[in-house]
Amino acid sequence: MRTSVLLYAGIIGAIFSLAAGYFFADLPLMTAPILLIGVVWVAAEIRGWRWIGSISLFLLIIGSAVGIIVEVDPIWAIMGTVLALAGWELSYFRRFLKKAPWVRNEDQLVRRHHTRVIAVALIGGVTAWLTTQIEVDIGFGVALLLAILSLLGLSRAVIFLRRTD
Amino acid sequence: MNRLLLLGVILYTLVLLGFVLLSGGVLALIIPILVFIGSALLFGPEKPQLTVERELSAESASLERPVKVNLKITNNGSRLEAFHLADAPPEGLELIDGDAEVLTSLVSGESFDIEYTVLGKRGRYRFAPIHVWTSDLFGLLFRETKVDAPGLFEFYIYPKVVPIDRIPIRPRQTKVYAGYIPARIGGSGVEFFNVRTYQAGDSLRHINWRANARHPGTFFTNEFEQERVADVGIILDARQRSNVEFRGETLFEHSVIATAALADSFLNDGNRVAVLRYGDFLDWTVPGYGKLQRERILRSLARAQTGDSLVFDQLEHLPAQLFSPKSQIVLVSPLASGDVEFLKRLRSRGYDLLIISPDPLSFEMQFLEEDEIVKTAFRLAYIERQLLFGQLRQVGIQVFNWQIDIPFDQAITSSLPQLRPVIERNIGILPT
Repeated sequence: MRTSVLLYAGIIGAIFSLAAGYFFADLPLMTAPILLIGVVWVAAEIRGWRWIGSISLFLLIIGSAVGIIVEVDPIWAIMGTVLALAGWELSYFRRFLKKAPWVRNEDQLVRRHHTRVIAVALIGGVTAWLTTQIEVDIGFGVALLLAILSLLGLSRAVIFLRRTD
Repeated sequence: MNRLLLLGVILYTLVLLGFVLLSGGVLALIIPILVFIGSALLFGPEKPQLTVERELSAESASLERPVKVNLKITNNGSRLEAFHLADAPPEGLELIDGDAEVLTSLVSGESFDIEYTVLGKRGRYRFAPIHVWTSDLFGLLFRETKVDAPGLFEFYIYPKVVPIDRIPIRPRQTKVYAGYIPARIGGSGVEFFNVRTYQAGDSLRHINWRANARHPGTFFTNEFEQERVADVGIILDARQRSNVEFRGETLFEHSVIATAALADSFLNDGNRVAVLRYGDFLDWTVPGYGKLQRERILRSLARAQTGDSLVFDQLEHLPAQLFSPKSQIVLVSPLASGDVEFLKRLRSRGYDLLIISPDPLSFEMQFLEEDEIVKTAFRLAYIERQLLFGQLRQVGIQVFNWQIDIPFDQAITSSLPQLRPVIERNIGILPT
């Protein structure tokens, strides 16, 4: 599948997810700025304005966070975040390929990248959604300890995986 | 903006919002971003362990001949997700076919080839180390390294060598080997040289019967002039002050073409040729014969550039002692004011001098519009130049003023008849 198709699908998907979230949360007015960001982002991708993508990603993720705060269903907000992230990444990848005068084994490279983006989006999205479904009451100290442990664990895991790669 | 920095800003914003508003949902939004960054770290770039071999289709090439460059890249390390390699051809070389850059991914042990073709101007070119950028597939983490490609890393583009007719030189000193230069010694040869008394063993075919008739009782035999090879020293004037540059074109290129053609011609005739480049420094190609010497001279000419030096600003510091006594010296120079006295002295020391002078006037006139001022200036400069030539010819120096709008081979061929009488007159004027 072509990168451009996935890229636009990602951006449009992110916009509609977030807009739908606000719409179903009885905040239809909030869909207008979301749709505007989407239109500007798509236009920027067509015209090749690279910085608009980063700004749009930031605004959409903040939009998702605000949505969660104003009681938008988290599934829409997470979908918006994940798809915006995928769209932003694919936009960069498309530029990266265009810049190179010669791409060797282009099909293979693109396929692997697409697979990885989709996998990361799925894992990230599903994990985020699962965390919103689990409710555990813990104190601040425990939360802090868990956060530190998880950071350390992640770091060790990354080091281990990189060594065995 | 750095992509990783942007994600960091978003992460911090979400964490801040999540803690301030005590919202677990907001904190959950961090997870996809963390997974994204974690994935980039996991498949991030390690220091690439590459072997790169560069091969060129030729160590040297002539001006219009393209050179193929082949790079064989082998990954000796772990897998490289996104791997961007750029082999920048040296400045002055034009990429005419293929790509010198590639974007790919490489598994461990995999190798591939890049091939591109370049074409360039005269010069010596050195390939710089190859630039390699590796990154994760998400482009968050980059690593830039330079990889040296062992093997041939420099090559030469030689000046154009135009074949020319034999230049009639006649140095006073020749070598012992047979060649094409009249040696002023009687013996076997083609041209009549002398009449001497008959000696036992002389060929009867060479007996001069007319002389015998005039002197009865004595036999005379014709002697012919031996033809031998000689030492020829070519001086290429690379002084900035004597060479004209105009709109990116330089008269020096013409001097180089003339030097290459002359060296080739003299070497083809079996002479021992040396080249001295006199500019910001002295570049001396020691005398030698044959194809190897031709290669040495062309290499020297390939890297020849004009330059300024306080020491070598005048020809005064030209080390004439480098050249064999009484040998032939060919000076390729547009000539500058103040050169005449030195050249006269060189001539008086017994060297035979031939000056090939690429004409700076015809060179500049190519670029100027012909109005009255330009025409007057041209006339004045022309007269000055003719006076300079006159002074040189007076002391028996051969001068060839090359109008550079005519190719060197054609110009010199058409001027050979004019050059010859000067030589013959020289023999008459100067003691041998």
